[in-house]
Order: sequence, then structure tokens, then C-alpha cells
Amino acid sequence: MADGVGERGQTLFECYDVCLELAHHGGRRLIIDRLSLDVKAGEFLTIVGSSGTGKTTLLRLLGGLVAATGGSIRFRGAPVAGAPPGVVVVFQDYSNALLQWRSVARNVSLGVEGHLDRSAVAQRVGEALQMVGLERNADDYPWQLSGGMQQRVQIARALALKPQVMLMDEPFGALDAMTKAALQDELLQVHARTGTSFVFITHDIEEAVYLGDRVVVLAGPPGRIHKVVPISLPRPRDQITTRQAPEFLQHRLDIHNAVLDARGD
Amino acid sequence: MLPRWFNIPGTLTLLACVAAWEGAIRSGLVTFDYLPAPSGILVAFLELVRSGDLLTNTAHTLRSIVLGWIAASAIGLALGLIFGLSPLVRRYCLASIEVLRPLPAIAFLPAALLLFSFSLTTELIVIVYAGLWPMFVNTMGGVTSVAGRLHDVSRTLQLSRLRALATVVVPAAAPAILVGLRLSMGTAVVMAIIAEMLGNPHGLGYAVVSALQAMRPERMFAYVLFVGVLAIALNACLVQAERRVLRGYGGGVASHA
Repeated sequence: MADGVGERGQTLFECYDVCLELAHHGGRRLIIDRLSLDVKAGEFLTIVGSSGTGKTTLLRLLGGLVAATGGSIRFRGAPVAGAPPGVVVVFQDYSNALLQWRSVARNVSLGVEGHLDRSAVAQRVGEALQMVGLERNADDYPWQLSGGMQQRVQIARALALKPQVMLMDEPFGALDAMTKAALQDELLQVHARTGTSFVFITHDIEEAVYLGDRVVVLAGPPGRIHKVVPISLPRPRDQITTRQAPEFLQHRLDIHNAVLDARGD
Repeated sequence: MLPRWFNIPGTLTLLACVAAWEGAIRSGLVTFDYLPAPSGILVAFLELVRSGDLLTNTAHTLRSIVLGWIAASAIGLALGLIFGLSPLVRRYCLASIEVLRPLPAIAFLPAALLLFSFSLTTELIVIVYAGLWPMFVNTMGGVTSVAGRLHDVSRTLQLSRLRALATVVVPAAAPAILVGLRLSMGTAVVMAIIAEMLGNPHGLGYAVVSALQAMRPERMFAYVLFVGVLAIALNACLVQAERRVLRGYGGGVASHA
């Protein structure tokens, strides 16, 4: 099971009463306040909330990039201390997150080249690039590509690791609407094909509903869970028909109200 | 045909200056007892080439510069990486370095002379000591300014510390490190000439001094101007190498060389 994505429904992340306090102007400031949340294998979890509700911080906690100061975070039963193997973060600022001096293929190989032999690396890179439709750009440099293509490179780099969970921090926030829609559908295809779990942060409520199995609405600061909304829409989803479905519109309204509610919370 | 990089207007100005110098001396407009005309310097230069003196002296100086520069760069790189990567080392040791660094290296020459007398060792010590600072400062600056996001990427991709250093940190700091290499080379050239003038009686620096003492101004100017050309040539080699290494860095990084 070590290399698999986990049995569907199995709990991958268990967060219990997680707190994060950081030094701030000589004092301490609470960023995350007693947050409890599970992430199941194969699940697509989306997180929305106004700015300052700790969305990015929550993702960094799950990714092991920052340590909680209270409560516990477990990944497959083991406490998270440092980045857990099988979990990979995709950042919003793709141009900072890519190595500008490496070609697309050599960016994608970064996480696997130390562990596999050359032909296995080439195969992983080829598969990952194909999943995001960049197989013809393997030899380009990131700075030669559009924003959407650069973000695809970062996603491919994460996919090459064959992760069990991908943590994505507003990955499409800086992209135009058309590119965003195309990448959403590519991501849903990857989700369907690989069974990888996703924790996906966005400030776009429609995106959260369109992608998610559950939408978590955060309140804050300090960040805490306001509401968790299960999304009843069937898969596969479609940019036109799904977004026109009455359930979609109802979910959108509910979550919109929940986000507004969370501000007064 | 002239190659495209050849700077025609710049060369014309240079030639005009040389012609003015020649004219000023010949016409008696300027009279110094020991200021030779460019034509006299050229004759002396050709004589030095023919006798083999220039080659011998250049070989000595070039060897000192290259040896000293390699040692200075290696030490500067290692120190720069250690200081750049460890906030703890910076907190404890940077103050000592900041005290040491501004001391003029040339002031250490008498101390080196006392310990190692007139020798190649003295010359190399002065070159290495002066040449390691630009490399150190640039490497440390390059490493400390690697974007935090790249450290996040190294961690989430499970790179070991060593692999992150080799594949992320050093390449990200490469433009700054290469500038350090070039500045160290410039310092090495200057220090080699000074050390040969004062500490190790060989090479181009000593040749300048002995031409002075022998009252041979044409010869002295020939050596001085040749040292200038040598420095330009060494810098040009490094700029070319830098361009080659930074190919692929794209978007303006390689162009401010």
C-alpha cells in the first residue's frame, strides 16, 4: 500500500484541535484556533474563506512546512513532522516555485531524479507532462511559457511523485478565466484517473463547488472551521451543464452565505 | 569584415587620444623628462617580445594570478556557502569577518614578508587574502537571498539537504557567485602586481619597478599598458564563460554581465 493512493474512504489526514500561534510584534498571535478536520483517500476537498482566515497557513500545516503549536496533525496515523512523504504542495506563485534555469522536463524530474534510474525518471516525467498536456514543451524553459503553462509544469512536477495527496494553494488564482476552466477540467481528469486526494484552496466559491466533494468554509482570524458543506453534484462534471444545474446554484448560494456569515462569526 | 561586436566609434576615440599624445610629445607641446611617445613605447614593447622577457614575466604573473584566484575563489565559495546557509554561523562569526574584511590586504604584506620572505608564497598569500572577500560576500549574499518559496519547494519535494543545496540553492545563487568570481579575478590581478613590486621580485610587477630603476621609461610604460591589456583579457574570458553558464537563466539575468 506504500505506493498506492490509499483505499478509497480511508482517512489520510486527521487534524484534531490544531492551533498555531506565532510571534507578532513582541507578543503572540493566534493564527489557527482549535481546528479539526479529516481528509479521506480519493476525496477532493476545497477550502474557501475570506482573506486572513488562515487558508494558506492550514495548507502549510498539512504539508509539514510549518509545525502546529497545539493539537495534533496525523498523516496515515503518523504525526506530521516535516513534509510527509506522499504529500506535495503546489504553490500559487508558479514563477517563484519553478527553477527558472531548468527546462520543463528537468523541473518535473526534480522530485524523482534522486530516487529512480534514468529511464524510470524519463518515463515518470513523460507521463506527468502528458497528464497536463505539455509533452511538446519538455525542452522549453519556464520563462518561455505562459502563466497557465507554467502552473501546469508545477502540477506535473507534483504528479511525477505519484502523491497520495496534493495540497494546492489557490493554484489558479493568477490565471485568466479560460485558462482557469481548462485547468480545472484537467485537474478533475487527473483526480478521476489517479485517485489522488486533493486539498484545494480558493477564494472562488464557484470553483470550490465545481471541483469539490466537500467545501470547508473557514472563519477568522484566528482561522477556524465555520461550516463543512458536502457537494451532491455527480461526476464527471462539466463546465456548462454542471454549472447550470440547480444543485450547483443552490450550493453556490449556501456557501456564499456561509462565507458572509463567517465574517460576522 | 569586422565582427559585429567590434566597437568602431570607441576605437576611433582611443586612436585619436593616442595620436594626440604622440603629437603633443613630438611638437614639444608637452615636455616631461621621462614621458615617452606612444611610438617609443611600441618599439620598446616589440623589443620585449623579441627578447622573450615579456613572455617570461607574463608567465610568472599569470600563474600567480590564476593559482591565487582559484584558491581565493574556493575559500570564498566555501565560506560564503557556510555563512549563507547558517544563521547561527552568521550570528556568531559575521562580526569578526566584518572587522577583518575592510583591513587593506596590502597592509598584511610586511607581515607576510616577515614570515615567508621574498617568495612566491608571500605573493600568493596576499592575492588569496585580498581575492577571497568579493567571492565570499557575493556567495553569501546570493545564498541568503534565495527566495523562501524555493526552500518550500525543496522541502515539499522531499529533497535531502545536500541535494537541495546542489540542485536548488547553488544554481539559484549562481548569477551572484559568478559576479564574485569576476571581482575576485580583478582583485587578484591588482594584488599580484603589487606583491611582485614589493614582495616577490619576479613577473610583470617587478619588471615595471626594475624598468623604473633602470631609467627606461619606454619599457616601463610598455609593461604598465600590457598589464592593463592582460586584465581586460582575463575579464573578457570570464564574461564569456559566465554567459555560457547562465544560458538558460533567461529573462535578463545573463545580460547585465
